[in-house]
Amino acid sequence: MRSALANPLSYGDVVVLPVPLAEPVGELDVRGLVVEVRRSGTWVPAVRDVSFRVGRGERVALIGESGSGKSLTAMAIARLLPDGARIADGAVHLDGVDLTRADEATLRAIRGRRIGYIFQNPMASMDPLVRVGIQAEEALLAHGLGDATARRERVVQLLERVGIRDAATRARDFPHQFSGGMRQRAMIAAALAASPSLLIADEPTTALDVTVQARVLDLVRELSTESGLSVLMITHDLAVASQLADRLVVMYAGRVLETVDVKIAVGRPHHPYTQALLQLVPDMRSPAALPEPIPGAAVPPWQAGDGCPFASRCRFAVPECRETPYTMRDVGAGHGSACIRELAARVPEAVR
Amino acid sequence: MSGLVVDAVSVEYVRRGASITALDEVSLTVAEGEIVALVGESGSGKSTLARAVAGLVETAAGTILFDGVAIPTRGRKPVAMVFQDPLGSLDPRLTVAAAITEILRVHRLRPRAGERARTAELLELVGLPPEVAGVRPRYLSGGQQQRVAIARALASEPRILLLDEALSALDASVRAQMLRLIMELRSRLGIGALFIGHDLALVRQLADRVAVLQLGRLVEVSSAEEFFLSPQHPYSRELLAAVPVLRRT
Repeated sequence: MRSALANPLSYGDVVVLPVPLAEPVGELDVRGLVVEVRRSGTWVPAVRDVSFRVGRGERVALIGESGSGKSLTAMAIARLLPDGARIADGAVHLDGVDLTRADEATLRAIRGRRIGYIFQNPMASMDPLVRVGIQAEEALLAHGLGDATARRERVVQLLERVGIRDAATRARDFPHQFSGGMRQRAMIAAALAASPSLLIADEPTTALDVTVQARVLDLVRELSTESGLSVLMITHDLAVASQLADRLVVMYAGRVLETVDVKIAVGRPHHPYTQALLQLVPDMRSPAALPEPIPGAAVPPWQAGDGCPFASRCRFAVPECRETPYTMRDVGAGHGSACIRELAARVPEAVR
Repeated sequence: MSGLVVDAVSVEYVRRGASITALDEVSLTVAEGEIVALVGESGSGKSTLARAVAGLVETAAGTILFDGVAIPTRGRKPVAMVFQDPLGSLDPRLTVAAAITEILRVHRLRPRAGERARTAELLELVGLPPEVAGVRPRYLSGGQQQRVAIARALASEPRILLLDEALSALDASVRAQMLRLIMELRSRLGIGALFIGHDLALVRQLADRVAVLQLGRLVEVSSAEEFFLSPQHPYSRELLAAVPVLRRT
């Protein structure tokens, strides 16, 4: 037993809760994850052999376009896959516990408590008939944390923390009385209520106005820096990822193509797909240079074959790219890439 | 004046008996061949303005003219809207060709014999292969669906497209393709656009002028160059400061 005072995840003067915690440091280790989806009656792979780590207090962005498998990966980690999707192989260890093999009771003990989850659409994930404050308390109640007064105080303080003014009063509002940005911030408060050690945020700011987006990103960054909260953020937006993440896991057609420090990703990425994503970020300084679209269309994971899934659209592809079975290799310290070609062989064109 | 002229337009909604001003005396012009971006946060009235121009919401005051003539509330209009969700605006039972032909027939734009050729022409214009003509929209990718929505909008031969978050739901790569498509339509057809989007980086690439709406009022209208380099209104500066940029440090 540890007291909440010793809990590295307590937020400043937030109400102390009698919280028993085994070492919840929020270390996530995803190994060889395979997620299958049902299509016309057969199971086909949508996430293929995905491996990455999120260290304690680290902020990792899972980045990719629609159909890359990034959201399925996130849902599989929290065992929140919808009907028609299943984990077919691999392991997901959170602080040493393999979630893929955990029973429902263990998962209940972990969800909300160890893992906070923020969904993209705050309206769809809130109950319109329940007051915002009560919904934000849910994780505390479910895990038997604190009495009614302590729970309420904790939630009000968190709502204040996420920038809801007059939080004690606003906690009594129903979701429709909140603006979209406020709802998303209330969802963040709810996800953080029980001091999870890992926050999974699936496109947390996509539906928000830029001004609110900037505030939400600041907030998540602050919380993670202050309290050692680990963050796995799912996004299609490289600019947003660069604002928040330390490291990127770049996904395409169900595969990880590059795992890379964000500073290297925006400067000298290894995989041509990461380079292509980088070239799609519009340059605010000059309107003349239109972002360069990637030729062709994305291949569904189940049609991508065993070689590099990006080969069909890659301007550096050689026949070996399709023939060599997919594998990640080290191309630098903590830098993995699935591209079999040497960066030097492509660099004269690759550099922007 | 030629082109689209929105003059002192107000729109009011009644909610729980109280009247809410969604647009407050907004004046704006879009010339043919010009792309004007309308920016502002949710609830600022961007979509309401586009809908008012398209005749989808009633105005409480002001006039909306195209080439000096009021835009008809029914029938063929000189403006056409494209929405964020292409599937929501396409009939799932109709093939791509049928969805486009529908517009040609409603407005009697082509004799029956000419429908097929015109449909093919419109598909080519938006960069779709002829094979998609016989396909239902749900079997197309998001980008292709949005191209169909644009082809359908172009079928009525509008002079101004009203693009209401039309690129917002698309992946970056598809968005880059659509950006090029809009520029190309402008140069090939001389068509203008009122572009509504919350992505200011996209606005930077696309717009000739930028109009900033805040709580139903226009607070700034400037050339894109001025808006991005020396925004005048504090709210414009706040919007620009919040744009997530690629952190290269």
